[in-house]
Amino acid sequence: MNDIAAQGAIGKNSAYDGGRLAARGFVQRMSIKKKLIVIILFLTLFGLIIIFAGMTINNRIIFGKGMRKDMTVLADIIGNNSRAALTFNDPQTAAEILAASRANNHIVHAVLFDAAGKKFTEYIRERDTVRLPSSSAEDDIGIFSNSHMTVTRDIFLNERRIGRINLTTDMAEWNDSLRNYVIVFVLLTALTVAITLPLAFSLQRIITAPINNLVETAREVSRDKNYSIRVTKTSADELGVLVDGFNGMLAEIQHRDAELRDSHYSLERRVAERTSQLDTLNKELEAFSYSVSHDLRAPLRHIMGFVELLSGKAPEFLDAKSRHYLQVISDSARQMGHLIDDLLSFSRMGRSEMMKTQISLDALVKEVINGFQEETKGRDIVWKVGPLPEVNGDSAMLRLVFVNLISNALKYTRPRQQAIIEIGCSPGGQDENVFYIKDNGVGFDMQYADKLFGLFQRLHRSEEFEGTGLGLANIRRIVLRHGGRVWAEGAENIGAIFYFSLPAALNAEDRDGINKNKGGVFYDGT
Amino acid sequence: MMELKRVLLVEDSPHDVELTLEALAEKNIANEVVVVRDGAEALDYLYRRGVFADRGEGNPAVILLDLKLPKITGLELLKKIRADEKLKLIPVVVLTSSREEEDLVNSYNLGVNAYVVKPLDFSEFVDAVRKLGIFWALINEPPPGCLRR
Repeated sequence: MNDIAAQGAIGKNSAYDGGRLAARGFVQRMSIKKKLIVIILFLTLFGLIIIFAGMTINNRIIFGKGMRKDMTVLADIIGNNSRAALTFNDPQTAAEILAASRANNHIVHAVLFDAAGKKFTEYIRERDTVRLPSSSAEDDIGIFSNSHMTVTRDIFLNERRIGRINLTTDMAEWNDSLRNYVIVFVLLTALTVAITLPLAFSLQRIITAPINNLVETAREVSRDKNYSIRVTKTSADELGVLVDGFNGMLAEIQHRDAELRDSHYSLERRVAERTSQLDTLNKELEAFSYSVSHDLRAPLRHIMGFVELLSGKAPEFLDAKSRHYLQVISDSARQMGHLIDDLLSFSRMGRSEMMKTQISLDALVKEVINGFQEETKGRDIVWKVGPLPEVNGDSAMLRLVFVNLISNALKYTRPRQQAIIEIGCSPGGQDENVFYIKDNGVGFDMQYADKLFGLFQRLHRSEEFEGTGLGLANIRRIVLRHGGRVWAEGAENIGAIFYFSLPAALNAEDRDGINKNKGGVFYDGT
Repeated sequence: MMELKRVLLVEDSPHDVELTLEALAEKNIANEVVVVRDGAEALDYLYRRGVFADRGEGNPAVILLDLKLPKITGLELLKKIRADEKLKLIPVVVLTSSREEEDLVNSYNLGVNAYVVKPLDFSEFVDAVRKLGIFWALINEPPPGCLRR
């Protein structure tokens, strides 16, 4: 039972707290305008109540003083009139004199005492028979109680006290005027509210108008993203400061916006300028390679043509040395022709657009190897080609990569009795495939590995192995354009492995397929 | 016996002319080759004006055209030939050092009949030019209105 009661109490408490919270929430949700009106009304009423209370207390004091004075005068008059009756011990006359109090209908009770303090005669208002305040002959002071006031006066004759009078009056008069006060207060309050409310409505605008203005502008700014709007300042108070601050913020944002836009435009302009410069450069480059391809080739052809004509025309007139010279001229011209062709191909690989498709490298490598059959006739070559994935890339470019790498492998295994060339793929990281071409050729010293892929860089003399030093540079360029990397490992007289990676464009199944096949049996391509 | 027909060689380089004629000498095709040194001269020949004002009527059976020519380039000449009612049927073979894809595409766009890149190696060059000569001057049947011996 106690528990339930306690719970009930708790419940009541929390309901009370909830009520307070709800009230606070209500106040918080109230608009500033409503808050201001409520405050104005509340303060006005509070003032009125204080004034009313003060005036009522004051009036009560004045009323009490006036009443006591009146009663004292009246008591003295009655006392004086009763002197003869007291002196001659005539209660009959005294009663008649006291009865004259009836003229003042507020007097409830009048008592006359003789010199000994014995009650001589008394008057009681007819209607007040029930209960009267006790009055003693000793009091000289008017006694206030809530409902009555009593005044006591001594009666003198020739400086000798011959009796005493007690007058008691009711407070009906005060109660009447108090009622009137309350009526006036209520009327005044109603009048005040009637006047204050519209005034409050119009006065609150002084404060709420600039705030609303600010709020409306803030909303507009955030909706339209228009930072050129400004709030009009209407006052120099704290709100004015707020408006200044807000406007300042807007100006700052607008300024930064403009700066941002400017820098964006200038950036775009610079990019456009650079692009057009690049376009011009590219055109010049194209013109250059065109003229290389056309103009440099013609004289070479002439040299070779006329050397050929010369050696064919009169072989009997030429000694061995002359024929050797002619051979050198012819070889050099041919070498220069290859150089020009490779250079053009290199420049074309950098310029031409990539046409990316899904390519089966298995098929591509097989074709490339077949293409070398004529060239490798009579050589003992073991091809070990592992399974290769499909990749996404430019077919012509990737073909050139394999052509160059395989032709290198063939070239540098020439001194071997049996050449062994391995081609395979190992999925490198998560997002790339690493391809390798391994040969048992003459290899290279690893300390020169970084020079391998440089333009015109050669690690072998051209009498040993022909070449222009452009093949690997070209491979590097192509692989980089595909988003991959190139590197190599080698050991002199043991062999070389060339690696390149391509971003994996595979789905999970294909990758699994490769993983399963990895380490499986290589098939012999020969 | 196939009869030999007239060949117009448009080539500005005297060395190339010499090598080409050398290659064609074997089958006597060289005898029927007329050499002009630029596009303007080629037009003079085709329209029978200037130094060619008093040549006989008729078009060559084939024009061997270099692309890089002074005054009027090979491609411009080709355009003019293809635009002319009387000349547009003449077979034109581009014979050039240029391997550029742009030249290739432009030439075929203008209606060239063949495009041959001059091989660097002389024996290959001789072989290519000789085959061209035999085909166009001997085997191929030219359009009507062509010069015959």
